[in-house]
Amino acid sequence: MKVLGVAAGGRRPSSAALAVDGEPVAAFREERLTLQEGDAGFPSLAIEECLRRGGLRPGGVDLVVLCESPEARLSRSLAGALGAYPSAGGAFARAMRDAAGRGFRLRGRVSRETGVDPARIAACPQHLALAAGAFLTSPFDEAAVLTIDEAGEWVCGAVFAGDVRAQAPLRALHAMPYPHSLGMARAAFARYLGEGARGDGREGDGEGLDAVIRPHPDGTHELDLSFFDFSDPEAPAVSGRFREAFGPPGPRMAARLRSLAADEALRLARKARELAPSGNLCLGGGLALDPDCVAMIAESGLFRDVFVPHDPGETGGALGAALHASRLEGGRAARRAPADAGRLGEDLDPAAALDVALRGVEGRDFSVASFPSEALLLARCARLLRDRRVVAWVQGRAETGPRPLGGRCILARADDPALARRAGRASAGPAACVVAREDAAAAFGGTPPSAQVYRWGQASVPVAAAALGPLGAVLRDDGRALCRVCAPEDDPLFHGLLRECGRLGGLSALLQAPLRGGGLPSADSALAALALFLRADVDALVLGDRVLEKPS
Amino acid sequence: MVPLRRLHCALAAALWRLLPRGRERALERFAATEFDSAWQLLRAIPGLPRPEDRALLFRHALEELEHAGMFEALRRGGDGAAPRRAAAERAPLLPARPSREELLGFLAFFHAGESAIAARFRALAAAPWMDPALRGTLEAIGRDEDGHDDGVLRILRREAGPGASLGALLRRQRARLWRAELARWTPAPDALVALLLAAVYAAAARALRGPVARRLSLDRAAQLEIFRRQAAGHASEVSAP
Repeated sequence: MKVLGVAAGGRRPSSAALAVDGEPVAAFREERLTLQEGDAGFPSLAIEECLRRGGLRPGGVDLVVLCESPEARLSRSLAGALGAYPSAGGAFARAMRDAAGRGFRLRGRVSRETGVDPARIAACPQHLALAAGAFLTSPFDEAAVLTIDEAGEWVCGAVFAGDVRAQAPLRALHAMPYPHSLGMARAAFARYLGEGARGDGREGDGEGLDAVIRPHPDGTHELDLSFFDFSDPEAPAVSGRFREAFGPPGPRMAARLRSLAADEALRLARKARELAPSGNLCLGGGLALDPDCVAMIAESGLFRDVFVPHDPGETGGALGAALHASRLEGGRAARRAPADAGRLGEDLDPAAALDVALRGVEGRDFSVASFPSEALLLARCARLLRDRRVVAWVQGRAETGPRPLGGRCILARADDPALARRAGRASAGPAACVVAREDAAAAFGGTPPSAQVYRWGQASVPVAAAALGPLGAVLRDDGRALCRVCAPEDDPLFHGLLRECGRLGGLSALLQAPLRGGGLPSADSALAALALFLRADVDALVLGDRVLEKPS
Repeated sequence: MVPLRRLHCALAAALWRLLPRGRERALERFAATEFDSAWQLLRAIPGLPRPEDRALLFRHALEELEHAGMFEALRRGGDGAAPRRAAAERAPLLPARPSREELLGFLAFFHAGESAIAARFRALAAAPWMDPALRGTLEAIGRDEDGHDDGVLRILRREAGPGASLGALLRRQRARLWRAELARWTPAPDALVALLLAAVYAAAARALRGPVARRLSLDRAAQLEIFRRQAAGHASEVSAP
């Protein structure tokens, strides 16, 4: 059973994912193939790559599942705009144009590009797809599943009970109705905070903000909608009343708004615990990409273990829709997702890039060395890092989601803030630390509250006093760091590199940042990685078994 | 053609000065065009049969990235990061395993595109109201584009074989380029559509006020029930033979 999941709704990044007999085979974000950040266009290349990875020709897919109903989405967009009449004329026009340009034609285009009969194109409710993306790639047999996103059709958040033994593995227990969306409220706050402080001392201090998101009798929350402008759900904003009541944003206001959103997420986690009495929690949706929110839930003690998929957003939804449909079709025989579901992106073909590198960029000063032995490769790379060089690391398949998982990343020593600044300039992405599992206790002061949540770097963690120096480059002002714990079974090569770095002195830890820079928003292919190496401020490129080095 | 292009570029340069954000938008468009070229080349390189051609086009791709960065740096007055918007929906001009005709078509189209861009940048650089910083950038990039044009034409000639006439192929690709350009500039009846949508918006808002208000204030139990029905509907849709 070959099922293709497609996420192609609205103005959010589009994706496609392929599951074969209940196992994930490929998952691509269109933006990583078009090199167009946030590409919300139809995911033609992602679909093409998924089919290629699965060895399928057009027509070879048994079922296509859209991870959102385009019709329901349109009805919600139109209702939102009509409800806000007359102030939402722009949103109404955009919804109508989206409907004419894509919404009504989506199934037809999917059918043309996949060769699948339109009768075999189904639509999965978005939060069900997000929940499936979280639960069916988790290691749990049963779990509470919480999804929080901006607005998927008419639901903005949901709680499910997940049971991997059931043919329909997810049972909906609670749905947060549109427009009481915590995700949209957070987006509106972020937009407001992005306007920046005026520095005239008139910034709000966040007093009275409790009125903006109020508790609901069912144990969750409701928004006071007069403080928000959701007339265009794709661009939520705070209203004039909010600005009048709280003034321009300032640092205290920023902290208060962040904690307000995190508190509400925790309230929803409590609701999930109450409705689905499981010791495990899976988190899906955009809010699960907030490392502090995830950490707050993981450290609350509500759950024994918390799992966040590598991409809890659109690509996770596309993969979830495909896995869920496979389960519905294949019943209990379908197998669980493998541990490496986070790296289902572009495969590496170093030969083509090296051929180009050796012939095409003469005049540019760099050396190329080949390391047929893995041990020698790791030793060379560890020595480069010890010598304070910034290294672009490119191995195997690329990551599906936004966090580096040992496929494509920029690496540097984790103890040198100057190197962090260099890596940050090269990558323009958030720097995190990655620690070998053996050293996690030393780095974070005892066993972390949940092993799963750090596996794919989805949560921040307090740094132990003894590790403040060794992790100085990634340490935040609040004494925490965004962290990934790498185990040998997750990625033996990368784990080997961390251990080799530890052997040369100190913790088995490195700073990692997304592989981007040199004018490229991502560099999944070998050629793009080579271009990045030549253009960005990195000293070496580890491409498969080759190391390309610029002179010191 | 040349006087017309000069006139068009002179007017464009004047407009950029007059319109709010005119210069910024033009720079954004140039950066996106250059980045698109780099992307097309990076996608196309594995499909080229000869290693030396792959290497040459990779050098061109690096230069196109450099150009995109230069325009972005001018626009932002700082770093040369990747442009935010694509010139159009990105679709590769050359498939992964191209036939000979597809390869020749790609090379001819790219040659036509590069020469058109080089001519445009030269004309813009010569425009009387062009600001000096942008003039220098356009001149430098125009020279690079001429080089790309020659390189691609050399590959095209070799791939087409000795004695092959490229005239018809190049004419077809130039016509394709013109069609693409015209499609971008065809004046969409935006004002009319906006007027029509405003009328529909007002009428629909009045007619549907009640149902919309009821749907937007649905209680949570009812919403959950609808969601469950949708999930059940999805399950039966998936299981349908």
